[in-house]
Amino acid sequence: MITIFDPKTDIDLGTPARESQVQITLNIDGRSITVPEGTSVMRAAALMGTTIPKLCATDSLEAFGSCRMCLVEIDGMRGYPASCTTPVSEGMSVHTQTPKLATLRRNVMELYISDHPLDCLTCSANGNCELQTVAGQVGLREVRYGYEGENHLADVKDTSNPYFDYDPSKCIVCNRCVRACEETQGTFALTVSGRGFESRISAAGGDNFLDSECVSCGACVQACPTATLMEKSVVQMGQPERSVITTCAYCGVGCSFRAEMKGDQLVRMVPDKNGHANHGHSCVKGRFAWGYATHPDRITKPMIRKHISDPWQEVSWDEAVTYAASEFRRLQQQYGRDSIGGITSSRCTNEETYLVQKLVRTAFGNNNVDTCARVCHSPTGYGLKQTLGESAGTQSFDSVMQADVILVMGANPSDAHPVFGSQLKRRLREGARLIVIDPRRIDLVDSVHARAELHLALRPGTNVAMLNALAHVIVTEGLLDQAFIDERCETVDFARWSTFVSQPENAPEVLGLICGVPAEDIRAAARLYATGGNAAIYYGLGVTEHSQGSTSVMGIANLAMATGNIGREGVGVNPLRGQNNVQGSCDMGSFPHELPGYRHISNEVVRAQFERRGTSPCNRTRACASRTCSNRRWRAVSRACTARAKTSPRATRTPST
Amino acid sequence: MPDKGALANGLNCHETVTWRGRSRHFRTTDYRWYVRDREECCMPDEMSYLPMVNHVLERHKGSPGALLPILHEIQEGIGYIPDATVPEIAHALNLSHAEVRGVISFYHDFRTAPPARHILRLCRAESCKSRGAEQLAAQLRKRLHLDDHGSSADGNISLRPVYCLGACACSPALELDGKLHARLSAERLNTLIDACQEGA
Amino acid sequence: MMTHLYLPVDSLARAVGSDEVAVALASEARKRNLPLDLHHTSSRGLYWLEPLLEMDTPQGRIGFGPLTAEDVPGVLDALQGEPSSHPLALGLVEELPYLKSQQRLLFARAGITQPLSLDDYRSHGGFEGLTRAIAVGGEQTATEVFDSGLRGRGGAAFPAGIKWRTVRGTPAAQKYIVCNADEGDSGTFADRMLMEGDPFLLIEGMAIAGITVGASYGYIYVRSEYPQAISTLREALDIARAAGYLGADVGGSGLAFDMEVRVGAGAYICGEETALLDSLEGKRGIVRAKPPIPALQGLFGQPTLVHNVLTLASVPIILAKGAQFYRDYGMGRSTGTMPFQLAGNIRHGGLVERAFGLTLRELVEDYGGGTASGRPLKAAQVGGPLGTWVPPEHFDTPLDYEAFAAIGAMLGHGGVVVADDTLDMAHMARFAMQFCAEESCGKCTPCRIGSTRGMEVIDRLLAAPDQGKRTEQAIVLKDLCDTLQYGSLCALGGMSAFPVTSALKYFPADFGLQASEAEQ
Repeated sequence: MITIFDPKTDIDLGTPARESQVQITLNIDGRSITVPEGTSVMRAAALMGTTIPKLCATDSLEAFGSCRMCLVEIDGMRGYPASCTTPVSEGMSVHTQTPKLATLRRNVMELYISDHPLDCLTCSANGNCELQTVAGQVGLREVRYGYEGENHLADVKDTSNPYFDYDPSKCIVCNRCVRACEETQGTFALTVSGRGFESRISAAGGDNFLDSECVSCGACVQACPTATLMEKSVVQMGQPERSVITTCAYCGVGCSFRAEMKGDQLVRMVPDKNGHANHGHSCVKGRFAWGYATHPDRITKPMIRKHISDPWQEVSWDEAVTYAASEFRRLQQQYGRDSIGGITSSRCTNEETYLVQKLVRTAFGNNNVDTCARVCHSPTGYGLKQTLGESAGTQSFDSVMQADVILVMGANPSDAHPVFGSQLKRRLREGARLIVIDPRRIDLVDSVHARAELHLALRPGTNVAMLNALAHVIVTEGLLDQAFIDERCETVDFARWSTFVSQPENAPEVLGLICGVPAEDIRAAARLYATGGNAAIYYGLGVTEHSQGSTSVMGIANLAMATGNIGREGVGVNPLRGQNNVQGSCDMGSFPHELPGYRHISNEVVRAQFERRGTSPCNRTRACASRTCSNRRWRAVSRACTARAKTSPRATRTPST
Repeated sequence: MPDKGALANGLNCHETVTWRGRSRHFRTTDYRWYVRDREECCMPDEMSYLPMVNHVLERHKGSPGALLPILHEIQEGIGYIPDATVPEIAHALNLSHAEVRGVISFYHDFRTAPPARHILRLCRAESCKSRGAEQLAAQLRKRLHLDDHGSSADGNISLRPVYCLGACACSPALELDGKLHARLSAERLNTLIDACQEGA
Repeated sequence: MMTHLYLPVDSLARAVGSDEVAVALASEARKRNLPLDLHHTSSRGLYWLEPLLEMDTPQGRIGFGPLTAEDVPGVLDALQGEPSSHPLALGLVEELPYLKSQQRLLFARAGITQPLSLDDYRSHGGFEGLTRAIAVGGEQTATEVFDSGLRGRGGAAFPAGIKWRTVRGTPAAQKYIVCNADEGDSGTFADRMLMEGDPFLLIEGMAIAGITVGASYGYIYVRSEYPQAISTLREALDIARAAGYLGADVGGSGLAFDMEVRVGAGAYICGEETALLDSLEGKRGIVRAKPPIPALQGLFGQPTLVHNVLTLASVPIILAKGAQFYRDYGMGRSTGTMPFQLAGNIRHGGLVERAFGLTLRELVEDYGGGTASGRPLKAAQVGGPLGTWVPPEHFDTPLDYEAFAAIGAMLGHGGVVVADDTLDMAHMARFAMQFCAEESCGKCTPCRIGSTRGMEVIDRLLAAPDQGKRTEQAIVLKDLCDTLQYGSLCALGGMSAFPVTSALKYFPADFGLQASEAEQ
């Protein structure tokens, strides 16, 4: 179902939400409101529908207090405090509009405009510029300083970045971009150069944005209230007219986006604040690299050919589908029922992957369906099913914000799951400690403001040895969470496991030699994981794409269970999946041995259920050469499936965990 | 595949590789410094400061918030803060290059180019103004053919304004090459300039 | 028989020639085969007499100054013969009215002791405060500071005791003491004098603060324009540490406290406490919004006690002599003494430590002797570059925080810059804006843009062709000052208006305005 974005639901409340058990009641312009302790006066006012003019405040970033537009009068407080940096207090009485405030706001705006180009009508932010809006709100009519004074209007634009422009002549030095790069993204690629009037935002890691440390996540562009940082697509096409909510297909985070459109043309992709996975953040891929969808190299008409050496022939859809179907049939008649199959994509919707497996099972009449998870996280599927009983991770992304110790194994979130990587770094900056187990010196090991405490750079192929060594330390040094094990785990299996890992040949001093990691580092990591508080493990393909992938996953799950790091926020076993609907495609039965809902194909009752519903899976699990299969209905059904696939709308996806 | 560029001597073990506009630092066990992909390569002689810089960084390792002391020491040793040292400093302190450059650009004390032989800072604050600092400033501009922030083309002398040297009871005052001179007069100023120009 | 002479090693004394005098003395003494022991003391703070040479006599120390190297042979002759015969003889230094009438609690040792001599310090009451603080314990010490009425000497005049109680009462794994030695105000030099001349006093004050509020580490943030203060403090810290006054067991208290000197890098705004903290953290010196206050969340997010040099240096005597002793000085809510600094166009520039309550006229005329040029005294800027220009009609205001606030002025750090009638107030108003623009951190809009616009408006005003245009610009200027005062994030922007509005109010003619226009 397409969700059209409603701008009325996206009000910037000025400062981030605060959680507190304590509620504070205050009075704003004569009206009463109750908010959690720690909320700013600005946010409290916004929640009750009162707009206090603001420029440097935005609710994705901590309050800064620099623009001085949001000044208010508070009974009993001297002067004119900034509402963004003033927390509410019980019984406070706030006035957001008074003659003095009006004068101050107008005067501050006058200063802004005295150093700003007056080209609103031809500016790319026209109609969607916060400076413009606030200037209108405060009723600025003249700039008594004139325009001949010192200004930045001649500052040169930086168009180096392929996706957005930086125009310093329009900058109001609100610092939102710098703060976004620090707080949201965690790259710290931006700073302010100089000071005072000369202050200009600078991507000072190089000569311009492209040469700097910027990773083009677009957080700064999104935060910028003016046209200073603006998408090139908006500069070229103008402001969008409507938005559709969608999900990025690039990686396993599955960021929620607003696709901002002009007619049927995409103007830009803006991360959706309400996205549970991304909370309004994105990375370069989903934010800017969507050009492939309309790339001139794309094939836009169906084509067929008989042999690989023949040229492609453009045909109609009907002809193409009929040809494909008849060829499938011919191949099966010639080479057997099991000669064809299908692979579902984890970038597709649940409905689409369901239909592919149905096509294969009912139309092709075999079980030759599989999914990318086979080569990616099928060890996760198997391993976690064996240990935890569910072949899925145990936490949401937000859980990382409650973690005290984070162990990243065989994954590089900064590059592969950038939005999650940013969230992880934010938690590290708050004080969480990081262990990295990876032969590579991934970005997290040495990231700005977020270094790993321990980097166990093991030899490739020694994952299981490492996990056993860690387990050995936990068991032999008495770091087990016995209460959790007694309550939640299989005692017999646990006993077998703990006996095994306790053996001297599994000690870090022995296995460390195999892994190429000093024993004291392994011991330190194990101790930190077991005793550091909430400890969460995040792992990726460095664990699963191995011949011992499933064993490794089980080893990881065992560590979590042994230390009681399962079952609440801030802990858990977290596979970082490849695409945003890997969960869904597995749920929908893309594995050859599982029908939709992870029901095993060998189960008679399950097969009977499916047959009753008109989908007749073949009951053979091996290649079948029979041409006289009693299942004739699959032929008709397959045609109907194809027809339905063409008309069904793009659907929602199973949120990946 | 990134290819390696100029090889320079240094006691460091950093490899900087730029790939798609992002710089990555890799610490290798191979103790050589590789620089790649910058249109204007760092001056070879700036690289020779790196051992000294690393020594400074090592000394301040345990000190929280040590960026300013480090920059001061580097400037005291070299005379300015070479741009080539920024990645080293950033890495040692776990900061981004942008942060380090932002700090350098904020504080007026920090220089990013070699200084002149003599630096003359005349105080232009209220107390000194009330005892004729403006006339002295005019005298300097006239004699040296420089503006208040100017540096002579021969690299001999730089003029800088300063706002208070703490000598206010004996205004006007200036600082020349780190030495304080107060109770100035036009004659004394001329004598001080003569001494600077003698060595030029 | 050894001749003991005393010559200051204070940087301003050196800047006016005491090094040359010292060299001349040594060479002259060699020539005469005169056994000479030259003691390098701090300065008395009677700067118009520097270089001031003193000699011990049974009646006390006699002085000669201001000396040049050429005067040295004559002085040595006089010392060996009839001292009072020399034209630069001053007689007993401590009988000089300028010095005798002062009430030196903070600068008790100025000119007497050698800055880095621990023996000198201890024999002149040094570390008595620390000893008592250890003996009575933290709670009593904090109470003494509170009861003394000590207020922040940096300029904000906030009651120190409240800050101490807040930091002491906030539990944290780490707390800090930060000494704000970024004395950037023109017309002030008391901090410099104290750090160069009596560094152990500051160290003692910080150590008492540290063990009282539970801070184990302290920083002294000194501006880079004070190189001698920096080197003196560093040496003093080493000496104090070696003697056990800093380290794991401060003065035998069982409590740990140590500290280091950090150097600024040319930013006046780092004298604002939150910008200072950012600078200590290795960042750009940007002002932080408050709340949270540094006492709760300061350096590296920890509870931090931030105080000016003089505030911390006042603590030892409060502990040594008791809160009541300190309260007995001063008037109203301004208790204790303040080292006022006379500067600018003043005949007798120097340090005058007196209890609050004397008038500005007494300070400027009785101590200062009026203008150095002899020309009529036009105005005095009290409190630094953000202070009001006070015209002579207000000179009978007592030097007291509240009394000055009542006339729209402020005491600040106690600096007084005197101007004669050749100083154009319009130029000074423009300079106030220029200084704000030069030193603005750039965070908040009124200061970042307004200070530059302020300069332009004043330029336009002064270049205006007629009365009407001048008045127009004056109105814009007043409005801008209002915006700066009420809209700025910190006192730099907030108080830059004061020198401008006071110049407009009291000296409209300098702007080419009539009094009535300037009033609008």
